[in-house]
Amino acid sequence: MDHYQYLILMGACLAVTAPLELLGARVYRQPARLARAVLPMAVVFLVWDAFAIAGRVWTYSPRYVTGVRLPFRIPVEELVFFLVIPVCGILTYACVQAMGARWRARRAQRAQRPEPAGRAVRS
Amino acid sequence: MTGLGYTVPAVAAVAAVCGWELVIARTGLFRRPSYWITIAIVFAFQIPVDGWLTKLSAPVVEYAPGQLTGLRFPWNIPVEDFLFGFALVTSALLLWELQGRRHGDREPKGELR
Repeated sequence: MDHYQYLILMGACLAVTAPLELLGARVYRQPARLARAVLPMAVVFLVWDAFAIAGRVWTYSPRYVTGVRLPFRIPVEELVFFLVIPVCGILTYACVQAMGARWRARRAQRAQRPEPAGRAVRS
Repeated sequence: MTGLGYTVPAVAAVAAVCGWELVIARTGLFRRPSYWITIAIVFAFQIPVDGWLTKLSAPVVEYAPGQLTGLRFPWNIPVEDFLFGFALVTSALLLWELQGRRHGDREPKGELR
């Protein structure tokens, strides 16, 4: 189980942020847009990762990763990280926007009809 | 690679992302409260996640001591990780915004953006 620590952590990030989609984020419902936002940055950061691994700037404990390696000795967990974390960030951003929009709409609605029912009946 | 092999690229990544937005992309992302709220939330969740990955008692990721400032806060998180996280999430949000613009953003105007 220890070998899956990193992957489990990434799974937990996806699980924790998943409800944001239902709170109005509408991110997973735009898969093409999501892919075009996440994939290019994943490539850029994987290149950085490859250099850092080659230069031994950082290393991964064999105990807590699966040992599956991509080209340039990049642990598969790193690819998962560079996909999961931006998705979590975008979900958060889209959810904050959606909640803000709802809050503003409610406030505008309340501002429009502060008066008693008398006026509404006429129209 | 000698010297601050993590610190220097981390600072450069933040500068590159900020330059990209302010000079080239100009999405207005940095002027939106929802962006800064997102960054605050992301940093808040980075602490437990990254804290787990970098805890010195059982580190998943280990850093060569000469390659970073050695400042670790909170817990054992290298401060460089926050620059890294900022660059990663901000660049993804920038592309998300640019994609939305291209596809004709379906969200109504005048909201908290």
